[in-house]
Amino acid sequence: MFRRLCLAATAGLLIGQLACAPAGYQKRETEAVSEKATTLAMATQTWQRTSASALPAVEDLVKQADSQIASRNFDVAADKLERALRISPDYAPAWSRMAHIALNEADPSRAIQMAKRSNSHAANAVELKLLNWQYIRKASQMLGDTDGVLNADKSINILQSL
Amino acid sequence: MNYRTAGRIIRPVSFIIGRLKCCFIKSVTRRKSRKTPSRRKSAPRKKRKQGSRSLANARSTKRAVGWIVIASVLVTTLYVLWLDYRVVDRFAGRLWSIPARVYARPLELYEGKKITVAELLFELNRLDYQNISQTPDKPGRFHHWANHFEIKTRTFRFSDGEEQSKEVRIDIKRSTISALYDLQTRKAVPLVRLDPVYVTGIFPAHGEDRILLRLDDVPDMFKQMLVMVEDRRFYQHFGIDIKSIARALIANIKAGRTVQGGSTITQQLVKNMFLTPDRSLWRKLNEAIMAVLLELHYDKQQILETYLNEVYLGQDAERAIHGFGLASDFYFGKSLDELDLDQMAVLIGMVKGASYYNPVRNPQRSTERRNIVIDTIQMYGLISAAQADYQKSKKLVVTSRNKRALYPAFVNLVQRQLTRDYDPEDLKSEGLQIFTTLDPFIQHVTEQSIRSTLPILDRHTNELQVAAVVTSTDSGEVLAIVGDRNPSYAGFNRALDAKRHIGSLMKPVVYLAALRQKDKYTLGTILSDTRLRIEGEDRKIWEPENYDKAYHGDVIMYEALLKSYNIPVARLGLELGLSRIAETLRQLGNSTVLPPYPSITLGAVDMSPFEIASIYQTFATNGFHSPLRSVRAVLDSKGMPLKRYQLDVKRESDPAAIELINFVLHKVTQSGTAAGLSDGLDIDVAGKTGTSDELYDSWFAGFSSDKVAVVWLGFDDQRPTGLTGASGAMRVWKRIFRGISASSVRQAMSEDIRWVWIDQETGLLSDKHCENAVELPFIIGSEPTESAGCKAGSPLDWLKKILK
Repeated sequence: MFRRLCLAATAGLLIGQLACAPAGYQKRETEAVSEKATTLAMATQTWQRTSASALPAVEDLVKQADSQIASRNFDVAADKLERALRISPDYAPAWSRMAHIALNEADPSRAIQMAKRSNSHAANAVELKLLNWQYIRKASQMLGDTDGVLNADKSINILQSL
Repeated sequence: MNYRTAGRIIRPVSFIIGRLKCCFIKSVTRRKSRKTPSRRKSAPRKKRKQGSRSLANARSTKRAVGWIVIASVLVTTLYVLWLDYRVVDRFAGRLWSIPARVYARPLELYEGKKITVAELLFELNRLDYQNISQTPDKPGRFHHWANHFEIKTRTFRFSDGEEQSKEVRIDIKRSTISALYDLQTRKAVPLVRLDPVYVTGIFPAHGEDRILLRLDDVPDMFKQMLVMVEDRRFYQHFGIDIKSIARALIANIKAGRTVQGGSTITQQLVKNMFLTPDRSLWRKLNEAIMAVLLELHYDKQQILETYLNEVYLGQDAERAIHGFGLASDFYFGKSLDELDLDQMAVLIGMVKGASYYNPVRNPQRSTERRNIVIDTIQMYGLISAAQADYQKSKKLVVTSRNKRALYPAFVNLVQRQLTRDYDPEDLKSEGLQIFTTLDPFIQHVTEQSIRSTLPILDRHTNELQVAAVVTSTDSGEVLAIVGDRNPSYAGFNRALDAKRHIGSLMKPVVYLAALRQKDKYTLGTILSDTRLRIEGEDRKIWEPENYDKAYHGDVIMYEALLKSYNIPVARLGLELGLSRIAETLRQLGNSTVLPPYPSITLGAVDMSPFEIASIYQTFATNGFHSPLRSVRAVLDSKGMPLKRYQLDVKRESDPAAIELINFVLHKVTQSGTAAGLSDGLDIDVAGKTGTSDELYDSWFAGFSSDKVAVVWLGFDDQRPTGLTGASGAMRVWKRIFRGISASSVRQAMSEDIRWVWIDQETGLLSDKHCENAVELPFIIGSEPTESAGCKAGSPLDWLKKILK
């Protein structure tokens, strides 16, 4: 029950935030920063909760990547994540972080591919899949891909009902 | 010369000319004003005439001398200014063209990593780590016994930051790192990254290579030794040292030949940078003037730093070794700060004659010279007599490895990929650091596999050619490339440029094009293997045959691919149409324009091994295509990141359909045309053999879960090789995978797949105990619904099935 509540709350917050994404461009800078921080904090929580037991090397690199993402050093963060993925290519939370970085670097097509890749390894990690679909939805929005948004919404609804 | 630099010369010159002109006019005016009265006072006319003539002669001589003096001063001044311009101009701009340095991927070590002792030793050897018999005390050293290593790594700057030196212990059990911890704290270390192996440089035409050193990076001991041996009064003189010159002059006169030089470090630098090595007086004069000018403009630290980077210290084929930074790496495989005192003495000794005292070619002379250097520094009190004796007793050991470009096919690929973003001139001159994806061990194994297999396959001609590409499955990184039967030959790169018929390697593409239509095709779809005759527009008849020249009647798609039958796939291709096959090929990451012939279904299409690797990489990742890349990042000469070549993935293909193909490709290596792989490989792999018409080309493309490799064999003049894919290329492929660490292919299917027993003859539902039953994966919803009925197999068949 508690897990479901958590899931619903996280999803609700994410959808609420992402639904306002186009308006986000007009927000004042402070609000935008705070919004990003909230999204990142939520994403990080999801990543951490859904992290399968990884090798210590992968955990270490992902931890370093998280701190670089928090400082918005996306290039360095991506380097760390690529190193992690060379060690453990199936590590879904790392692919999800790559999607996050791509979105922040305004590369929605790449974000979609990274999120899909994460989903292909996510197995039963519903929360992670939900986060990835949020990324796909946002990226589709950025691309003006209405079908993509609808498809993502459909997947999000299915995942939320689980 | 630009306006600014011209102005720099013209201004002082015009000032001097102005001054000289001014003096000259003044003196002439003065003389003119004195002339009239003196003539009036003159004595008798004749006498006056004679006197005036001699006076005139004297005056004109004086005037001529005056002009000569003025002209000489002017010319000398101009010349000195010209020399000054040369010195300043060279030092103000970029001093050297620094070739780009190409590095292999750094080896990452962590608990759980698959690595053999031999592999780690190979890497440490390629990095010139010194194997010592005790716990390593300096970076670049290691201690190894049985399955244990103690390593002190080197500090190195990567694109994601600096990797500090670490002292770690590594234990390897069953080809896997079982423990990794810090030698000091005994705490587990999650990850250690070794410095990357230097592959080659991208050199300018003059071939000068160097590793730039900052003065702060040079050990104090080295600087003191160098100054003591080469120019003891370096910090006192102003470019030239009169005392040294006098001393050298006396010594040379006494000996009757040149036995001693009086050149200061500044003079040597001037000679190396601006002048020719000839021993003329004119050159010496220029050297002295320029040395003084250099000292006027720059301080001693700048001069010493430049000298350390400029000095010529040997030749490596076309590459000229300049500076102590590169020399240290080239002769001893270490950075300057890792050198022992005796090794420093060797390098300093080489300044006197880089070729004559070359430690590789003339070890005896080099040792003698080293000992003189050690005696010299001992004489001046830098070390004690005991220390000197100890250092002199050491054996001269230089790195014997040839450091020239070892992997021409790989470097060729790197250059091609980089020239999309960089001017070729920048690659040769800007000192870029290029971090590539090359895995030196896999490259080594690939080369060795080729070297050992080719003589067996080609006993008579020695002309059979080969190309191989090994990539990382998930990242699309190119790990190894060979483009010639002699892997170190930098000629035609067949891995990238030899486009040949791909034969049966095309079949999985055709079948994938069919399976993408899940409502129409499954692995259980019946295909006809009966005679096929097609008349083309040019009235030519195309009649494909199977390799065994037989027809097999109705076969299911699974069997047709497993046994690589030609006719069923040709019929299927005709049914599907060219555009579907081309679209599937595009989704797999290949944009080859297919010729409009039915024979393309049997691989009558030309592709390079590199292109095939790209296609099979997409199969290996269940449809995530990553463009193959050989470069990870480029840093500038100061170690600042310039460009990242990021991991890119794109899924366009239907992953479930690819899973079905991969299932069959796995079976191909167990009971199909590549069944020979099941013996001798301790992992499960997937792959496809390929043989072109008349046995012109022998191919094998296959993958494990983490690596993809493609091997091609053939003659350049398209003669028949007498080899099929299985009897030729696959043997090389197998040796590669036996030599490297790889993981079995993933056999778990996604949730979109359902396993069903079907009857091989009808493609309808069956049961595991029935005769001719086979269990196949189907995309959910595409599995057959009708049953074929069940004919029970014989007890022997039943037993066989269970054992299988």
